[in-house]
This record gives sequence, C-alpha cells and structure tokens, in this order.
Amino acid sequence: MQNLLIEAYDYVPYVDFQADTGELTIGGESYHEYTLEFFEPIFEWLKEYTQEPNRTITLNFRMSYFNTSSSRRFLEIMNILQAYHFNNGGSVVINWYYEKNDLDMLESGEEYAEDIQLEFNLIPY
Amino acid sequence: MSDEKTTLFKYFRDMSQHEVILSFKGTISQEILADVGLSLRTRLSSYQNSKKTFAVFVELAQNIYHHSAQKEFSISKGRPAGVGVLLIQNHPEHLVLSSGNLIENFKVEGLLERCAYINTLSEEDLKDYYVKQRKRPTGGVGANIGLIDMARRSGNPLEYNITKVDEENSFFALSIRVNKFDNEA
Repeated sequence: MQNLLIEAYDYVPYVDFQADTGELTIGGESYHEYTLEFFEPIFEWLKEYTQEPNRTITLNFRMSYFNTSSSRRFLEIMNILQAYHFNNGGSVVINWYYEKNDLDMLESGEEYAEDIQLEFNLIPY
Repeated sequence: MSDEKTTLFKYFRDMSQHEVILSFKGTISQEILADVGLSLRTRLSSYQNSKKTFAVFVELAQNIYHHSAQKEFSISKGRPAGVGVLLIQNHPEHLVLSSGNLIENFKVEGLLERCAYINTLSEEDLKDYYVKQRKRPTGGVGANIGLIDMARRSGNPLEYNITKVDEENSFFALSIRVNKFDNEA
C-alpha cells in the first residue's frame, strides 16, 4: 500500500503515514474551513490500511495548534484505530506530543486519553 | 469626497480610542486567518497568550464563516461564505476579541440558551460538556463546540448580545476576554 504524504501549509497539517512501518504522524497546525474535505482522504487511507488484520500502528500527533473542527476529526481517526485494535487484531499506540509550556495542548491530549481505550502517551518536548 | 475622508478619520479615531488593533468586515477566509495569526504571534509576547488569542480568533471567524445568515459568494472557493465583523482590542490587562454577524431569528432562542448554559458551568463542567459534545454527530460542517472552547481557553464567561434587526434576522455580538496574565499565577 502507498504511503500517505501531505505537505503542510498555513492552515493544513503535514501528514506522514508510512504503510510499511505503521508509523503515522500528523503535525503542525490545522484549521481548515472545511475540515472534512481535508480529512476525508486520511479516513479513506486508514479504512483501507486497517482492512488487513494484525498490523502494529503508532499514531503520532505533533500538533502546535488545531481548531475545534479538527479536534472532532482527530477523535474520528482515533476511533477508527481503536476499532481496529479491539476488533481486528491491530496493536495501536497513540503518542501525543506537546510543547512543554503548552498547557492547553497537554490538556487536549489528556481529554483524548480519557476518551480512548488505547495506550496513550503524553510526551513533552 | 471630503465627507468620506471625514468619516474615515472619525472611524480611525474611534478605533484608536477603543484600543482596536484589528478590525475586519467581510468574509474571513483561512488565508486571511493565517496572516492575522502570524501578526498576532509576533505582536503578543507570551507564547501561551498568543496561542490562546489566535485560537479564540479562529473560532470566532469560522463561526461567522459558517453560521452568518449573510453570505457572499466566494469566487476563489466556489461557494458562499458568511459575512461578519471581527474586532480585537488590546487593553493593558487583557485582550477583547469580538465577532458580530446576522443570524436567522429562529436560531436566537437556542443560541441564547446555549450561551447562558455555558456561562453557568465550572471549568471542570465545561471540559465534560466539551468532551461529550465532541462525540455527538453534527449535521453541520463544524464540531459544534466552538463556544465551549472559547469559554474554556479564555477562562472567562461569554459576553453576548442579540438584537433583532428585522423580521428575518438578528445581530449576534459575542466578545471573549483573554487575560494577558495567568489567573493562577
């Protein structure tokens, strides 16, 4: 399967999903006006990727800012991987990176961690 | 001609007196947001502060973009975009970010209830409400949690006012105060 690579620009995060290693990273800023249009290809890629059982996946968030609409899309991404983890033999870990002084970003990570039943690491940098 | 110049000067003076550092009327695209973001981040010294301010500004702008009852067709986007006003005032102790736009009269009651409800919630309750709402399916383009997010990030209540304009629309004014210094500090 092809990797999914999207370059960042002002209001769009970079996406680096490596099909071979299962290392999936989203980073930067995300405040597209129509987040669904931006995230749709990401959902499609994940749905295809999780067709094959028993993959080991690490999902890395390296966000510096995202709007509320993106916040919902992130949850949807995590939900896809959570379903894969519990229903299809996947082994999924989420790493949430935050700038160590950015308490809002830490809090965002903590909220997802409470919502999601996967191994969820909050990692300051 | 000279009338226009006088009006413009008055406008400029009023803005200055009210410590306005940015005002905008029209459709606020994400391209403009990106520019404003850059400017805010260089202008405001504290990292956390400038991020909070930018986050509130994006939510206000995108509320207008998606929910204003007044639309303009955007040629570059090939679809309608909401029109409204945005204002940032820079006071010594805090910033005030405001948005104003038309909303359909039938939405007024629900919006007033929602704002009033948000203002009754403690920090912890706001968090729970945010997480709960984020999971709920929405019919629209957004996540329907912008108002909660702004109340949370700013740590201050929503200041809002709705005025009936005519039989169809009302004007919704919303202000968010962002403290320049940490409340906890």
